[in-house]
Amino acid sequence: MRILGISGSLRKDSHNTALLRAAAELLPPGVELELFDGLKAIPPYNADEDTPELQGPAVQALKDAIERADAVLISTPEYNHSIPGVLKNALDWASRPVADNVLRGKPAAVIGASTGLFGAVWAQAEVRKVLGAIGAEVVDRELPVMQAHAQFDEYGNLHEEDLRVQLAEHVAALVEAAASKKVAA
Amino acid sequence: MSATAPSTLEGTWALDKLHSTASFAVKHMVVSTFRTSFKDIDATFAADGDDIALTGTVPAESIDIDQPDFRGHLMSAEFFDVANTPNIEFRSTSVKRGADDAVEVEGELTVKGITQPVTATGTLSGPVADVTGTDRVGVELEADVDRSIYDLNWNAPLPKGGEALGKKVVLAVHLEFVRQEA
Repeated sequence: MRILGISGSLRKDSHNTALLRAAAELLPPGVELELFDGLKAIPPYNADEDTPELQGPAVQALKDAIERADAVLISTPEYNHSIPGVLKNALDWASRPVADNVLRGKPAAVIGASTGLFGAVWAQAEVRKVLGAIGAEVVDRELPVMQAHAQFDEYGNLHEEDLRVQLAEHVAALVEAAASKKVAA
Repeated sequence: MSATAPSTLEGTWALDKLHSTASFAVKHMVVSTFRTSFKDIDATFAADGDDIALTGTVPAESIDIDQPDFRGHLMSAEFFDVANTPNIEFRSTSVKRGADDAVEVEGELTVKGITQPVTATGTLSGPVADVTGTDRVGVELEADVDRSIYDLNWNAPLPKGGEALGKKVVLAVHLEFVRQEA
């Protein structure tokens, strides 16, 4: 089984990218996580370019990566209590065409990290809302990682055992959703 | 050693900053508790007969949080408003001693320029002579305050219910004083 991890932060040392890497270490056997690294290349959504011919390779790469994944795990920062523009923009592209977009019916879960006290909890809620609107099968859980700058050791591992357990449970719920989808298919 | 140090609280006492802390705790995300302290505290302690007086000052900007965004939010007018009201101050109005070092301190706590009465309870221990023969007194106090009475009202509803930040803040000081030579 393959999970596509999408970090909503473009920053090189992003806490949210680190959180996805930490999640990758906690996956059950037989499950791998591919980290999507093409977010920065995705152009601003423009309905005039929203055709297979005009959407361009960066958008195609995103759609292909989602399509070949069994599930999607998004880790989002929070900007002004909401979703980073680059992430929302990517989800807007992925949501097209509406009827058979690559996220429709796709199991998806959301996690998030912030340097404040609230762990991007509002951004996570908004990403879940957007994923639901797009038609993904959204795991109704949140994982707010607060004071993210202090949560990782030099190797990118989470310091706190409690948090590792919560993250493991979170990805397990996503894997379970994807597994039942596969059985049903 | 001629241990002639007086064993009463009589006199004035200076804060041993190295061995003192001022901290607070507040619930956030409904179930978690956030705790931090202030790096820079000052306090005085004096006893004149049964009359005991305690004062304290903490610059809000000495809060032990380095992350710039988090810190910036706390320093802003949504929280401590340090540009206009840099200090948190306390002044006792009544100190009542009970059995077994118990103490109840009533006083006025000023936060964000707003002064409100507060009652703290804890212990007042000593004096005891340290290894150099200097008398030391320990004061440990805790008080619950409703942060909204200090116009510290920031909050936000959580997506899954409840408020982001609790209203009740538990203040705690652990102060060690050394006797000032007369």
